[in-house]
Amino acid sequence: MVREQFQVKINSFTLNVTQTAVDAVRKKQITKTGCRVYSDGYIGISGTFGEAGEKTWLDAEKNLMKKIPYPYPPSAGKTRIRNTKKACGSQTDFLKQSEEFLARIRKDFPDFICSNKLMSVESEVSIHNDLGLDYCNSDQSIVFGLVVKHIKSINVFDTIYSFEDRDPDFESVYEDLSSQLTAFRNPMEQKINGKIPVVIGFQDISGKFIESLNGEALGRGVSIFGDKIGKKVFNDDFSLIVDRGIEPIHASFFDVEGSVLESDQTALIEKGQIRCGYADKKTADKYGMRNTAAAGGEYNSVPALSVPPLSVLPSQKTLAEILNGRDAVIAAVLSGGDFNNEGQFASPVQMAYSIRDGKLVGKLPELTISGNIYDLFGNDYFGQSGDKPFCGERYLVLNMDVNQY
Amino acid sequence: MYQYPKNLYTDVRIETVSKTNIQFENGELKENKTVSEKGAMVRIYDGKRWYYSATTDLNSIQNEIDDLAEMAVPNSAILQDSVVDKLEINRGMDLRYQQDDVSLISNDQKMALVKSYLELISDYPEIRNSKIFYLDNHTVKHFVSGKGADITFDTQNCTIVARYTIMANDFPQDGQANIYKIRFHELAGHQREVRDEIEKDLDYAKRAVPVKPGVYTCILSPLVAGVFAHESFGHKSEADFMIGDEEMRKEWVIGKKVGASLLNIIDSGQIEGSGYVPYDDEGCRAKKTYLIKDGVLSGRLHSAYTAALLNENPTANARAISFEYEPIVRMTTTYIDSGKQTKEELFGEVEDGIFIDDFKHGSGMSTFTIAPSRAYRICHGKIAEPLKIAVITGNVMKTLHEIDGVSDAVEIKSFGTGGCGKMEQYPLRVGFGGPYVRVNGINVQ
Repeated sequence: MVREQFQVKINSFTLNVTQTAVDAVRKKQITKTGCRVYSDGYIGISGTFGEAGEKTWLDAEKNLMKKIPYPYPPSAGKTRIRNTKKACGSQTDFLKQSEEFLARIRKDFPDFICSNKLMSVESEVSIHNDLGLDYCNSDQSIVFGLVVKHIKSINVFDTIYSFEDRDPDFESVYEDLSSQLTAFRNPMEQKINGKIPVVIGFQDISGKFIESLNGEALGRGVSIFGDKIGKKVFNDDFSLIVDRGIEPIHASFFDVEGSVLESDQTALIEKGQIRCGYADKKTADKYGMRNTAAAGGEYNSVPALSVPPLSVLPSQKTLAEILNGRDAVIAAVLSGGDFNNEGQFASPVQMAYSIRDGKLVGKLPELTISGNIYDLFGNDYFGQSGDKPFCGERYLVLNMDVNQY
Repeated sequence: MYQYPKNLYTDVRIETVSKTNIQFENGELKENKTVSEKGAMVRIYDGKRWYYSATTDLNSIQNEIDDLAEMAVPNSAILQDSVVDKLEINRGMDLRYQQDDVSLISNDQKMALVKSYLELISDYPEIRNSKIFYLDNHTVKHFVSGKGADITFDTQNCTIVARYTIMANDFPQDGQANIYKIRFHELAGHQREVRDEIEKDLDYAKRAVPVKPGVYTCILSPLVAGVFAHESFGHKSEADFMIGDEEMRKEWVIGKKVGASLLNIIDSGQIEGSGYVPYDDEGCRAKKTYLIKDGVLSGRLHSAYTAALLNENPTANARAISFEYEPIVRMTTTYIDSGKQTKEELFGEVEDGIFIDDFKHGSGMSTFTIAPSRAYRICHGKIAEPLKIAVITGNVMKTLHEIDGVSDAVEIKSFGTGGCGKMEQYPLRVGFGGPYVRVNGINVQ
C-alpha cells in the first residue's frame, strides 16, 4: 500500500472596491489536504480542511473498499521545489498602495466608476508519497480585477480591467488602465463591416481547442480533430503548448498525479500540425497517448483528466509589428461567444477599441466577430504577440468577420 | 456564544456541508466521494468598511472576530447605522430536510440508483462518450449576529446527470439529461425522461443543418426563457451595480416602462429547488420580488448594504457560494410569469422563425447571449428541421420590448450542476424558468 498526500494552501488578502474606493477587506487562509491510498490497483481517498490526521488516513484506507480502479503506478522518486514568489510588501503596504492607486483614478478619471476586487494571493501546492515523491510549487500574485463603468452609461458595466503579475509596478498598471479609459472617452462612430484584424486573448476563443484536444474525446472518436492527428491543419506560426513553466501564474509544474513535463512544456499543436491531445495517466494508458501532465481535480477527488495550463507560443514580433500599420479592433470584453459543432465561432463584443499603430485610439460601438476555427488559426492567423501590450497579457491577431448592428 | 466587540456590528455564518459525488465514465467507476466540510465566514462592520475572514478552524472563530475588530474603527452609533438597521433579527430553526437527510442514505443505495441509470446508455450505440453522475448536497447554515439574529436552517438536493457525446455525420454533438430532486427516493424511476432527452439529441445530431445567419422571431422554451430572464434582466436588477451611480438611479427608476406590457419577471428564494434560500447569507428571510410587473420596473435585488444606500428594503438576495466568500447581491429563482396564450397559439402565429429548445450557456449585460444546444426552425406555425446555431444575441433593453407572446403555464427548472457566475463567485446554484416566450428581432448566428 502506498500513501500519498496532496495539499493546497491559499492565503489571500482581498480589497473590495466600490465607487473606486476600498469598502471592505477580506482575509482568507485555507488549507485543504487530500490523503490517497493506493493498493491492488485501487485508490482510496479522503480529505479534510486543515492538516490531515490519522482519521483522514484511516478514512482513505476504508474508501479502498469502494473499489475505484486506479491501476497506474504513483509517481515516485523525485524531489523538486519551485518557488516563483517575488518579494512583496505586507498587507498594510498593499492596502496603502491600492488606496493610492484608486485615489489617482478617482482624481484623473472622475467620469468612471470602478468596482470589484484587488487581491494579493499566495498559493502553495504540494504532493508527497511513500515512494519518494516530494514536489512543492509556491507562487504569489497581485490581481487587479476592476469592473469599469462610465458615469453617463446606463449599462451595468462597460468594461473589465484585469491584470495579474507577481510583483506589478502600480505605475505601469495605472498607465495601462489610463490608456484604456482615455480611449473609452473617444467614441468612434465609424461602421466596421467585413474582414479585419481582431486582437483577442486566446482564452476568449480557446473553447474548441480545449474540447477537441481532450485525450478522452480523441480516444473515443468524438473530437473534430480525430482524423487530423499528425496533420498540418493550422498556420505554420501557430503552436499551442501545455505550459507548466513559470509564466502562467499559480500553475504548478506538476499535475495532481505528480506527472511533470520535460522543460515543463510540451506541444499539442506545433507549427500548425496537431501532434497530440492532452492526457493524464489513465488516458495515456488507455489510448496509447503521451501523458501530458493533464490530471486535475479537487484536493479530495480521484485524479481525472482536466484542462492543463495552455499557452500559444508567442512570435518574435510585438503587437505593433504584427499589425504592421494595419488598423485593427481589440475585442476587450466578449459577451458569451461559442463555437458550433463544426467549429464556426461567433460572439458579441461588449467592449471593443480601435487600434492604430499598436495603440488604442477610441471606443467602438458594440459589434460581433465570427470565423471558422480552421480559417482563424490557418490563413487568417497573423500571430501571437511577443509583448504584453495590454492588461499584462499577450494577444492573438486574427483576421475575423466583424459586423456592427 | 461569542464575545462581540463593542461598537461594531458582527455576524458569523457557519456552514456544514455533506455531499456525495459518484461518477461513472463510459461504464467505469471514476469517483465515489462522500464529504463533510465545515467552515465559517466572520463579518465585522464599523459603519464605513466591512471586514471579512473565512476560516476552516471553527475553534478560532473568536480569534477571527477579535482580529477583524482590531482592523475596524469602533463606532458608538453603529446600531443606528442605516446598513445595520436594515439587517433583520430572525431567530429559530428551520431544518426542513432533517428527516430526509440525503447524507443518511447509504452509499450502497446511491450506487444502486446510479447503476439503474447507467444501463440505459448502452442502448444507444451512437453515444460514444458518456458520464453519469449522482450528486447530493445537504447544507446546514447557522447564522448569528451581534444584533441578536440566531437562525439554523438547511437546504438539500440530489441529482442524476447524464452527459454524453453523440457522433453523427462526422460531427460530435454534446447533450445532457438532468433529473433534479429534493429527496433521495424521488430520484428513482425517471429513466424514460433520460431516454427522451437522449432521443431528442440523437435526432438533432443526425438532422441539424447550419442556420442562415440573420434576424429572426424566436420562441424560447421555458428553460431558455428562464435563462433569458436571468441574463437579460436579472443581473441588471442586482442593486450593487447601482451604488453611487446617479445615472443608473435615474435610468432605472422604479415605475419606468422597460418591456412589453405582457412581461412579468419575478425573483423568489421561497421556491423549493436550486434557488431555494429560506434565509440569505446575512440572515434575511426569503421574499418574492417582482422585478418587472406588466412591463414596468417594479423592484430590484438587495443586500442590507445596497438597500440602505438606495433607501429601499432588503430582499434576501445577499448570497455567497460558500463560507469562503462574503455575501453579495445574487439572484435566487428568477422566472418569467405566465401569460394568456396557449403554447400552440404562440407557435401557430409564426410563419418563419426559430424555436430555441435547450442551451449550453448564457451571459448578458447590455447584450445578452445564449448558446443553444438544440434549436429548430419554425415553419408555418410548426416545428421543422433542427438548426446548428452558435449563439443568439440581442440588445437587452430593445429585446424586452420585442416580446409579443407568453404562454399560459410556467415551468421552474433546477440543476445540481453549474450555476450563475458573478466575478470571483462561481458557481452559485440558482433556479430559473418561465412559460414559452416569443421574441422578435433576435440576432441568430
